[in-house]
Amino acid sequence: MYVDPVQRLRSARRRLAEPVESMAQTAAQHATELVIDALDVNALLDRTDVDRLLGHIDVNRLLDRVDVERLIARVDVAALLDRVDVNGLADRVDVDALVRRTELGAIIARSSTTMFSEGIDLVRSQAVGLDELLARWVSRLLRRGAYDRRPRAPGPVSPQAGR
Amino acid sequence: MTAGPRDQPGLRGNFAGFVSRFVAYVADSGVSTGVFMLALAAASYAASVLTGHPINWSRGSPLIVIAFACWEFLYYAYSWSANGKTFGMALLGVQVVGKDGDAAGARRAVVRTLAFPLSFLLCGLGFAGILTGRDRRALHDVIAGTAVVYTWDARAARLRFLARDEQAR
Repeated sequence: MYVDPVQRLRSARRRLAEPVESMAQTAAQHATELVIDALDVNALLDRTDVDRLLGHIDVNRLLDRVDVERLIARVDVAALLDRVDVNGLADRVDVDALVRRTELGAIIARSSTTMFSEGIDLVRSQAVGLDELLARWVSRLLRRGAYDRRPRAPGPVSPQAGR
Repeated sequence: MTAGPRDQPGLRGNFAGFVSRFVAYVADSGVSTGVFMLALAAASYAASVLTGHPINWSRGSPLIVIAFACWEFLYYAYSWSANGKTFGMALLGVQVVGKDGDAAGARRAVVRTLAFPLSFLLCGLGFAGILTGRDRRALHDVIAGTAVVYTWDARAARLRFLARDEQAR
């Protein structure tokens, strides 16, 4: 009976493969644990050039891959706000300095001017309205007929006319 | 019901009515009297600092009456001759001009100031012309050859209101 030597070898390899593989895995696991135990991570980090590492990172490409909407959806804003001490934060704000450094002062001044101007416009318009009303009554009392609205003064009136 | 600023047509150069002029006069009376009282208080304080005795001003004192009359004359005459308007008139947007529409000038301002009390002394009848006359001139206006016109640009005010409305939306 002829026995193929190659076939025998194949059979022997199949039988040995499993225990050898298991032994190799166990050995690798032990070796890894030993390496990790022996490794000083802090020393490794000290030796790492973080700037150079960051230099290799393409931040824009990274950001393109970030799903911001999904990220925001995962943030619990209410819980976040609960943890913020708004009053404490407000106490720490130097409002005077803020007004000095920003356009807030100008905005406040502009707003005050607008309010003043609005008030003046209102007073004047009310007075003019009453002028008209009174003139109409007088015109009716004197039986003048159709009321001539605000007759104009002749000539070049009020060269410095303004508000 | 009076018209709001958004309903006013352009007023500049039109003869001013009674209410605008009266309110301006009330404002002027308040300001001029207030300034005079402050001046008296300041004088009394200065006297108390210098002599140790404050001055007690009496309203009926001829000196006070004369000083007040002089101050009022100065207040109105100077304001009208300088730019045709007092503080109250500037507030209400009215101005004194010559009857032809030119600047009032110093002479007319002085005559108007001197004639102004006459309108009161005739039981207020001097002001009737503002209500009944076509050019709305009071007795002191007729004597001084002046008129009072609106200098307020109602159209600009209307545009400001519209702009504010637009911003508020």
